[in-house]
Amino acid sequence: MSLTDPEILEEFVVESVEHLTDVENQLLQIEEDGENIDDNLVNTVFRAVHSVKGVSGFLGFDNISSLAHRLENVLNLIRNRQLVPIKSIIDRMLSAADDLKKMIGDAEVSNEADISEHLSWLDEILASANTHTANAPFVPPAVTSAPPKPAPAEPTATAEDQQVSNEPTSPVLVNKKSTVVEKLTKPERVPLRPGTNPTENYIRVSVNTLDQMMNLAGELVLNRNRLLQFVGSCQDSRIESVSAGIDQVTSKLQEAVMQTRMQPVGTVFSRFRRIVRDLSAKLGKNCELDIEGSDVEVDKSVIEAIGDPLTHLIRNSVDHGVELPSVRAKRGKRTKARIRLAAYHQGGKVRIDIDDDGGGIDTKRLIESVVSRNLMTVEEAEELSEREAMELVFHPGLSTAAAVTELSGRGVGMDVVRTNIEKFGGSVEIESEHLQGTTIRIVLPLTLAIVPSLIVSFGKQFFAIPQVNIRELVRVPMEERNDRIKTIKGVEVLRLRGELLPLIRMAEALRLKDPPVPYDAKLEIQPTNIVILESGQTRYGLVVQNMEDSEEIVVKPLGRHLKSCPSYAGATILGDGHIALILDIAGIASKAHITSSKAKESEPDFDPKLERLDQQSLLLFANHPSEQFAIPMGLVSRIERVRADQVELIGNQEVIKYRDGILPLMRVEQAISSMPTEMNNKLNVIVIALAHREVGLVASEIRDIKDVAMNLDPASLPERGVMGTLVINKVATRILEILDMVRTVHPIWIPEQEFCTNSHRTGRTKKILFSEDSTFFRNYLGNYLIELGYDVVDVENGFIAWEYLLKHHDEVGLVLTDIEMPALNGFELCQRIRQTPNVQHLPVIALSALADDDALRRARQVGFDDYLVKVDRGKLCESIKQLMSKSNDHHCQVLELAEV
Amino acid sequence: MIAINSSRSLDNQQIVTFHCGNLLLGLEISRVQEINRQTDVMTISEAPDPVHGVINLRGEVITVIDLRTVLGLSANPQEGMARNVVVRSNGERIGLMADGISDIIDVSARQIELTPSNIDGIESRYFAGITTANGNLVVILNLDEIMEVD
Repeated sequence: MSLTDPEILEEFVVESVEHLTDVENQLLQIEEDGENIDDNLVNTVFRAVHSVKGVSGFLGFDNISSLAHRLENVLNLIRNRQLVPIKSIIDRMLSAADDLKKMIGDAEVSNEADISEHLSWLDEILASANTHTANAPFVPPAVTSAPPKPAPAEPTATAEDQQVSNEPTSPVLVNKKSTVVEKLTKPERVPLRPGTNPTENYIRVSVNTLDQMMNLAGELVLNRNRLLQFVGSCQDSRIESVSAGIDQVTSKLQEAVMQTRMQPVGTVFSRFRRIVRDLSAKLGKNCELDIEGSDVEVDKSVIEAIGDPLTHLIRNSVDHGVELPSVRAKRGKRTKARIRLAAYHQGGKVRIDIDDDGGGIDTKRLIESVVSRNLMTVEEAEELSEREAMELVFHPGLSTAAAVTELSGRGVGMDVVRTNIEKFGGSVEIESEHLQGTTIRIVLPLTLAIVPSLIVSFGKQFFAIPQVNIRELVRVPMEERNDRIKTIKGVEVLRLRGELLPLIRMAEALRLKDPPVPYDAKLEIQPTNIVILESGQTRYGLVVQNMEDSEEIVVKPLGRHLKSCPSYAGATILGDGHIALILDIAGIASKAHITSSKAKESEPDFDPKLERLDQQSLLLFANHPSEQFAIPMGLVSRIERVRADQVELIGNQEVIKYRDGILPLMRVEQAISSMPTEMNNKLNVIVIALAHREVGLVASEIRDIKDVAMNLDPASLPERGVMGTLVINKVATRILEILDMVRTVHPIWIPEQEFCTNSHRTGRTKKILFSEDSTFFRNYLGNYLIELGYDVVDVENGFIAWEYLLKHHDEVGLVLTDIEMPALNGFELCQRIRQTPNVQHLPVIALSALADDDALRRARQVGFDDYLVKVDRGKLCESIKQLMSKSNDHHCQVLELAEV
Repeated sequence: MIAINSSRSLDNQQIVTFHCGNLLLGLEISRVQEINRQTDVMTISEAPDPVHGVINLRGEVITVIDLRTVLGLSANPQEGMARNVVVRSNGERIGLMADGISDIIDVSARQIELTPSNIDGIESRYFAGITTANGNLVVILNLDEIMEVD
């Protein structure tokens, strides 16, 4: 009998695959249970195999049917306690189940497959069991018939029909969530009576239908938005209430549709039990796999993307990570190694950890192997920090396994794993302790279908740039354009903190046609907007015409005729119905022939004066139209807008209620001579965090936030409370020194600064080594520290600091360093200090213009003791005091030891 | 009666006809999903020539192909008459830019003649046959070949 109807065939394949999805883990569980047979579990597998047998027999797939039949018989013996499922039996069953699945996948040619080996194995098992229990009833009559015969009562049964067919052992569509192995042992899980069949709660829906639903829900949202706009202009309350209802339902619908795409990561994780088991057996290792967080749900797109990288990492753990039992015994470890695979939600993302308690990564061997392959010179390798050395794991073409194995390949792959994970917006980190184990941490977005992006436009055309690729946004004002954007060897470059970045003009790269707008002289004086992009090793600046909002976009594929466009990764539909094309950052770079540009190119005629001016982000405000003030953004924790009547008086002190407490207010005119604040109905309160408390600075008008070069002359400080004066936006602006202002107005708010007392404790003064490339800050903060009683050595960059430290390490008690500096930056300086024996104990404080999360993380990694914002003298003073005393304690201890 | 009707309908085809350049073109109705006035496309400069751009079709981004470019017809745009004929091809929805919709005609298989080796110098592989409607020549398109362009 041959089958011609492709629909029935597909039905059979889909259904059979579903029956057998979890058979692997179920068999493994049966093996683990051993003699304590879990009837429900065995029954589940039995029914699955049985239904495959039935339908395949009916459709004429004799091979599938007879293999399923043998499996069914063996399961029956197990169920009847006539056979103990020992490892060798389960091995054969697993292998048979594998081929069963393969044949189902290719059902039309399944009859040509050679399954004789499986049949004879299984028959052997059956025969041996039978000889032992010759008199026992072998199998229940219902399934004894040897030649496969049509099992379902109705030959034309569809999937749904079969669920409720009158055969008692009809297929049970197992609730997806309960396929999680941990839950298998719960006896109440599998309902036996057809009436309580869990299938009724689940139906199969094609992914196409789901995608379509998502599109339509998105469209509904757009239409709802238009409706709301329209209703807003109507005065009819009935329409309003209806539209509010539609609004709510639409949002819920969209959420629900997104929810349909969510799947538990367990669907990927479950396959690893088998992999670990088989691989351990092959390598003579003894491993157990602990799975946690199988029920963490992520979008289908993520599930699809993580399978391969995770398989690679798990194999690596078994093959390269975990030691042989004999080695483990020698090292005093439990002979059974443990690999932990855990998933959890973390800050709107999914984190997956793979831990093993194996041998860890030997960075020495990594370095040797890199050097021996000429991937790095000995000198370069010596410069590496422990963490950088660990990163070598991701170097293309590297393996630490002593022997190349068949299973995990030659170690090529970690780089591929990282590239693949980064491609969909994730990250991989590795941590390892030699002999103790390795942890690999993967962070993934919850969905790949929705990508946070920056929308940029050219005329009426919109484009989306994925946020993961964006390093920073740069605006070059017209006045600075000639200095910062140059053409070198025919390539436009941007000068950014001493580095030259190649520039690509979006309109040219994408060959966009000029928008049909008349020439506008204003365009000429507008700043140049540049998006700094990074993809793998490539970095460049993309010059765009307009930057719009950030949006969470839903990725839509482009049709097949557009697959060959290198510059686009897809498309999306914006809130107003416009299409925006998603830019392929790597594609655009390679089209423009920009390759690895991470190595810093230094400019031949680089003018240090221009770059070393320290850029500081300033908040501009005014209390009277004729006076403009600025305070560094680094000090501002937030800006509150309050009504004038919300300001209360406690004694003479103006306060507002702020969060859970009371915020004291301060006016500029209280501290420095200036015009009185104009009181309007509303006023702004700039909340500033001091070392010990918060204070609100009253501002009647917030004007702008601007990056300004701080080329102040600190030698002529005009008055207490003012850092200096600058012309910003063509207006003379006083830059306020908050700490001094507060000290003038409320001296008790700031604890009297203790002068440095270390000199009389140790008998000599330890110096602060202060490395800072901006002359202004070097003088400004240097003087401040001297004022506090410290002995300060200031230097212009990290390299000079490093040389000074090497010569005078016993004189220095603390290192204070800027981050962005020429020659050797703050991170590199700190890293060197931490790696050098006689200075590694020194406290090191980072000073930066602004603290973003990335920089903070990096600072922690390289071993900074503290990370401060430059302009916050209060915190700086605190931190120095604390760390200096620690440093002196250390010194005292050393001295005491020496005396002993 | 019923039997006769069904045999006739097997034999008969409904053809959607539309103008493109100076030709009257036809497509079997089952291949056409919808015809709309969405002709304001977002152009993609990198795309191969016959691709006119993309449009937002109820939340789906679909490719629009300019039939005139595929067939090498001269431009003959009639303001406001242009239509987007959305067809299905390999599970994907694709728009075809036409200069205007004409009619839906019933033809029997016998009325469709094989295409001469060329029509107005256009490659014959793009055509599935020729028929007449109200005295006009209708060139029935071979959609799969049209979609092969790159």
